[in-house]
Amino acid sequence: MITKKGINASPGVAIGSALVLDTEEYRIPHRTIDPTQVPGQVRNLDAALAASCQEVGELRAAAARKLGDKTAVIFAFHEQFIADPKLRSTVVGLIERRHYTAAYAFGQVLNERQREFHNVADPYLKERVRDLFDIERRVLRHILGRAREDMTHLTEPVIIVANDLTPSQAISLDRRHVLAFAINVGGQTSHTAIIARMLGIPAVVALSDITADVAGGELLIVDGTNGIVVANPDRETTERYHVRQLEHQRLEDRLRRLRDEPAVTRDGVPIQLLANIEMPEEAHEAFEYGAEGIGLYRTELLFLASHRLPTEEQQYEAFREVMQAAGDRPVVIRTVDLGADKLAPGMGAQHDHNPVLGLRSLRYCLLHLDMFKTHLRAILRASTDGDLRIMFPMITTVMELRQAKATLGDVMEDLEEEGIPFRRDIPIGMMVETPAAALLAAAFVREAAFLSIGTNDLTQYTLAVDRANERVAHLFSSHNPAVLKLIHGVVRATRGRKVHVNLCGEMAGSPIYCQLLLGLGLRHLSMAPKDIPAIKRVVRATTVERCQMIARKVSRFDSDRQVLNCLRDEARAIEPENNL
Amino acid sequence: MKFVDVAQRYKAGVTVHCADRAADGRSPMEMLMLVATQGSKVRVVADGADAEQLVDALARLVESGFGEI
Repeated sequence: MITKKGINASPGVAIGSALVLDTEEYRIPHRTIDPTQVPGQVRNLDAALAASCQEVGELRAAAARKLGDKTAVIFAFHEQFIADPKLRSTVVGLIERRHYTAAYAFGQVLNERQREFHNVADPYLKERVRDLFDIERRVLRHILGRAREDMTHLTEPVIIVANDLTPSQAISLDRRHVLAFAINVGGQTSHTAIIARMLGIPAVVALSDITADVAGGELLIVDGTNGIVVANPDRETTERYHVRQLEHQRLEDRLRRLRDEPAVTRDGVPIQLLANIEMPEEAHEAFEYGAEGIGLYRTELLFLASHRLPTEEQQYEAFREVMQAAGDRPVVIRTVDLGADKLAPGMGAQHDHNPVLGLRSLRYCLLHLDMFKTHLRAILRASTDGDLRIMFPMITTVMELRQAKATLGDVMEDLEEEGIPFRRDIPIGMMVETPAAALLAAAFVREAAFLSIGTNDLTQYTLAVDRANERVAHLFSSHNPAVLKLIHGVVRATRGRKVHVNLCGEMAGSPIYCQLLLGLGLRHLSMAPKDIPAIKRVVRATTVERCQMIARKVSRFDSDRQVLNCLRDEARAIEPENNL
Repeated sequence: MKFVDVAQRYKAGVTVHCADRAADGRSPMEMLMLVATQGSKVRVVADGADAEQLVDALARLVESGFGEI
């Protein structure tokens, strides 16, 4: 039994078998086996060697046909190498004498051979190291077998263990069978964490090397509430967690029942609770949880779902589905915010040295008008149904906002000429997620119908911290006084104007921040659907007067720690059972 | 590897020596690790029924430049 501590990314407890997603460096579970398992491992090895041999044989035949004998010769070497009885006996020796798993033993033998080549000067021979890498990958793939199961067609419930999950991997998952995530890198606001919370499944991130400690098929416990993963738990531990699992379920059910209660403070102030979604299916779930609208529809997944850019029709269909699920509830669609860690394959290989600060999001769109206009067309066409609003991401200057609005204006003219209906007075808003936008909010309120504070990126840029970098993720804190000051400034800028402001970062869904945000003047919060009930509970248990007192208190602090302690105390004061 | 191909056609066991290293001539894994680069001197020792034919075949292979020159 191995217990590992990481960062709690999504609450709950999951107990199930592991599916390890391999990457080049993290493929071999570093494990020894029980002596009784030796024959099984040897069988595993032999099967893998045979399968690899066959595979290479087929490749050689195909290569000979298409590319000629010279290329085929390379595969001949691989075949010979894999079939070498000496190779097999060396690996079996490790399995039998040192009780290594077949995978680990094979990896060791190949690694040793690869290392010996480091000292070789001869370029031809150095090239052969590549062959060894290739052979290693191929045979390991067969040995680890189950770990390479196709993610999109899972047949039984599994816990996904990986170094990281790219957004495209996450959306291509067969969601019905994913119990939890256990990830090497990341923090509470990294993509995997956000998706896990959206799915309502437990997740632990920043485990550093969980992929090396877990083998495919192994029993895992993921305690997303406390950031703990237990591999190969003993019976007592499993039973203990099973109980916790049931408790968590009961709590979830209670919160779900809050759906039909209004989100009003004890002193009668209504707070609008909205949902953040990434795909149309989630809209239904959002309203299940009592969302009063969609505060943020992230459109990126539309662009990541396949290798080609989505067509206007594909986009329109997705938007329409959300509008239909929403009825007359407001929906805010944010134009595509691609770049940084979300580059789409269809965008071409343009690697920014510093992607987070590079050509991404709206900047990218304004330089790729074809794609942008198609996107805007689809959004405008969907505006005929219900209450749709459009929002631009990553705005840093008023000029940028004007350019975006002008482009939208152009698209509107096109649609008019073509006689395609859309809503001309569609409210146009913007994300406030850069320090520039926050500091100049007073200028922006003259040009936007509404502002949406994106605290994930705002915090990232203000504190200069990459939230996906597990070495500094702990420095990312939305309750940093600098960030709070910016939020307050934005809210103040909207006072007395028709411009309304909401907050749509992860902060909005965290009960511990709720009173503070209300105290800073926010009346609209947008969050993951599953966070709505817990926030509603806080809203219904507090008063705006109290919240303002808390905000004043907090504004006197200059350290994260002081702020957090204060917020914790205040949260506990009104809701003792709140899971913080 | 042509060397191993040829060696495997015979019944005799064969050891190839290069500097202070030795390898089983029939094992691609060991032969690779022999790191016998072009121009290095190797000593071939065969033992078995068709040892002589084996050594002859290998010598011919080397002299012909492995068909690569």
